[in-house]
Amino acid sequence: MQTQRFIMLSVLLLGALPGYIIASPAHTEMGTYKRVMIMERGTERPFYFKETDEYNESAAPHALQRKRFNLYSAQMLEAKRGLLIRFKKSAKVDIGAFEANYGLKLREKLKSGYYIFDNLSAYSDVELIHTIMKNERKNISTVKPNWPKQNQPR
Amino acid sequence: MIHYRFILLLFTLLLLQGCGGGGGGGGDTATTSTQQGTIHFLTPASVTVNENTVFVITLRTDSQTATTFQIVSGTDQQFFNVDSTTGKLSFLQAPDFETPGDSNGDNTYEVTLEATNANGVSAQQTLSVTVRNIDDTPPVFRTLSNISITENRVVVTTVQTEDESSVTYTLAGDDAGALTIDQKSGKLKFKTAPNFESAVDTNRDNVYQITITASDTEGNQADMDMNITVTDIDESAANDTDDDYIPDNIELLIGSDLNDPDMDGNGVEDGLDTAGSHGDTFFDKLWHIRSLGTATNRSGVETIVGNDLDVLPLMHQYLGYNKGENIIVQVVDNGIDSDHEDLEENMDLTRSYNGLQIGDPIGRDSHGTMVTGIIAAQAFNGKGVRGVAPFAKIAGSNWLRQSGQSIAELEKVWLTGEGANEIAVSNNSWGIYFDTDTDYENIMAQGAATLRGGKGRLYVFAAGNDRDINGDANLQYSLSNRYAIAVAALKHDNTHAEYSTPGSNLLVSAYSGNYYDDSPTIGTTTIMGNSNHVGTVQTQTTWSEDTQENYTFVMNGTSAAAPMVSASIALVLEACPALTWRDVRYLIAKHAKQVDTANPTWHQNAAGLWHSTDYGFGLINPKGMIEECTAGYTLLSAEVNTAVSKDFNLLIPDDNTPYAFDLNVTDQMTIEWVEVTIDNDNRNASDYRITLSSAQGTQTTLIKEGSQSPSWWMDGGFRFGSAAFIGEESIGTWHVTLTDRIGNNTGTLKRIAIKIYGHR
Repeated sequence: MQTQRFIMLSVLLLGALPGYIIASPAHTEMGTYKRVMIMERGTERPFYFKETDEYNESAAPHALQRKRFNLYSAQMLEAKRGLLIRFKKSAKVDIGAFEANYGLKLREKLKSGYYIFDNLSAYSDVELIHTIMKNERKNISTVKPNWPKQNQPR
Repeated sequence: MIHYRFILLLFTLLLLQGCGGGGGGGGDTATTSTQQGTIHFLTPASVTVNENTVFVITLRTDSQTATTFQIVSGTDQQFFNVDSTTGKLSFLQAPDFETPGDSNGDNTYEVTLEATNANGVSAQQTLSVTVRNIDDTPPVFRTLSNISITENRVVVTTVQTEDESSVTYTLAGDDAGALTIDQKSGKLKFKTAPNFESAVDTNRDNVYQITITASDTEGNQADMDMNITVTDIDESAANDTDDDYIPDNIELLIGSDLNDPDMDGNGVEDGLDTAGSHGDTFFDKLWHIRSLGTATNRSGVETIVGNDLDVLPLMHQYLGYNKGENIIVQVVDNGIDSDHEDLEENMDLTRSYNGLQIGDPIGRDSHGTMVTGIIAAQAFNGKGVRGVAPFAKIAGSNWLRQSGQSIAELEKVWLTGEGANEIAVSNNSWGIYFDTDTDYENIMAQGAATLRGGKGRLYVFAAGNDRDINGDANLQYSLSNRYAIAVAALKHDNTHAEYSTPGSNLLVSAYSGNYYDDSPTIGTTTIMGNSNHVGTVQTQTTWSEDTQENYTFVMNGTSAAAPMVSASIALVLEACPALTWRDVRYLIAKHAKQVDTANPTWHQNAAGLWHSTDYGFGLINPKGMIEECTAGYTLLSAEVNTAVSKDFNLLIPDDNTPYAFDLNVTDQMTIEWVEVTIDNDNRNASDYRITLSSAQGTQTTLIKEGSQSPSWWMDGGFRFGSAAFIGEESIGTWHVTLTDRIGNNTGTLKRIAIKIYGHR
């Protein structure tokens, strides 16, 4: 199944992302979880996905539920909500070319250094992240989905 | 198929042709019957119309030929006109219900009408037209159009009108942008309290000119021009002349006597009173502010005298009022009931955010409202509770709401939003068990460098409630950086709450209580009408006297402790506004009170400061901080940092043996913060206990074994933070020790890096 997906994505990418090919499946099966690697300040970090979110009773009565870490529904593997990217200070990236290469559209540049891109490509956010991590490692310190965080009241 | 359709169409046309011919010759039976015999009105015999309208009804008959209409009789026929062709019946003049013109004055007009068709056949019908009374009077204002209030107050008045139906209100006029009015209640408020010395009305004369429009359900409207004059008060008088725990300038603000410490003569100083128009009804229940050794919630467990924040002595002078330039504390949460009776005077809606939009940080969850009350429920207003900084202003944000939590929104709230520079403290009573997000510290770094005129905003966080599942505040990048002030939670007996998450990165503690069934918890505001003042011990969530159910005694969690620290910092910054974010952290560490001294996690560092992974440096002590910062305190010199790292390729055996690794720091500085990054590929890195010993021999535990973190969480490098070494000297050999204390998995140590921040 993963092989089929790889071939399909590769073929599609040849048309949509000139010069870039997804080299391997974007996620890893880990028992009941799926794991996707993102990059956070130069370090690869896992993003976890599960069919249903996992909650535990909280010790604090007013916080009815708590999450242990950012855990997303497996449906989010297909999401196209956009990316959060931070380029290295040394990188000289042509944003226009970057947008064109990956099917992205710059929505906003934050004062804290992040670029928020809309994902206009044919691929999911995690697929794009996978490809960008492979191709742009020298230019990028952070690339991850621009998805809502999952903090909870304490 | 087409062939059959053609035949059917032809047959139908022939039939129609036959019918038409019959009509022309007068052969249609039904039509003939009407034309020759009768004509009937199809309109009802009685109709009801609203007063003040002319049109009554359009008459109809069953005639299929042209029909003419006329008025033929009726006791009130003189009031009507009928269009002979269209049958449109109207009053000659719109009737007025209050002055009926009909013959018997009952507002029912009688008229008889006649219809005649083309063949001369006619019929008559008597019609009763009843005129209905409607509200045709615009609302009448019962509120004065010229109002005078003292500066620094938010609530202007509640606009009142008289009308037969419900009324809604809107604002217009030159200065409408500075105010807001509740559409239904008519409560008129400034979005932020006006400052006489820096008026924001159009012509800067401190007279705010607005037009209030009142509209009733019938569409009647009335306008009233209102002038709101803001008057000056003396804000400089920060002494407490009558020693009643209300500074003179606040006495002037609230209209109390600054020379009479007990205005109502009940034997209680005005600032401690729970009765009267200036008392805070449940002040005696707020043991975190003043512990009286009494039961304060349904647990029945008494608090301990002396176990409180010791802020009462400060309230002679510091309440967040800051001579009218109120200290602003931001509450980032899931929403605030900003109309709460005990909060509304302190809300700053010009710096508050509803999502990405300036405005009311709405939210129907009580958490944010509870947090806000702990910080700045207003004092001396005859209502409810009191915040630790009860005249600080609140800039709210509902970023934590379920549909929120985008990084773009957080940057606006924490850094770039409206009036961000003046927000001194951000309170963040939220988090997640494990995160490696660096977004938070990237934004906070900017806020620390640029906001508050470059002195930096303070970012205060709840450390977490995850002790029961071996949580550690160091598992959260949002807390393991030098900008975050991570706050642990204390019970009333000065031991940590059962849930309070430990960590070497904890800076300080404050009160929260444990659970409301077993010991005192925190009294605060909740969404108006949302608590329960009756019932059994299992259901009651507020005091029996709180009949309006606007307050609660159930607040706990590190969420309750964090706002006490935020408010304490507000008091300190009122006393010492020149302090930078680093000075505040340093003073917190230096003056926090050691509690639970028997706890084995306390370590005294070489600077003489005690630090604990359960308590940070102990209970926040704003009084001690203010005593130092107002007595010739010298600001810390510029921040410097140094880094050292060492690469390894070493399997850490699974044998419960400590393996120590040395790193030599050659750069000398006085330490403010230490970060240690460890790269290890153990699938279950939670097997490790990791300790750090400083060059001067102080030891802290960076993480204990057994946390419930994701697999390979240390692979690639995981950063820990520690506050334990504040004040120590950096130079010398540091030791990092890893002990694999849980079986089954091993890992290879690849790299250790230490980064030290401080000053010279």
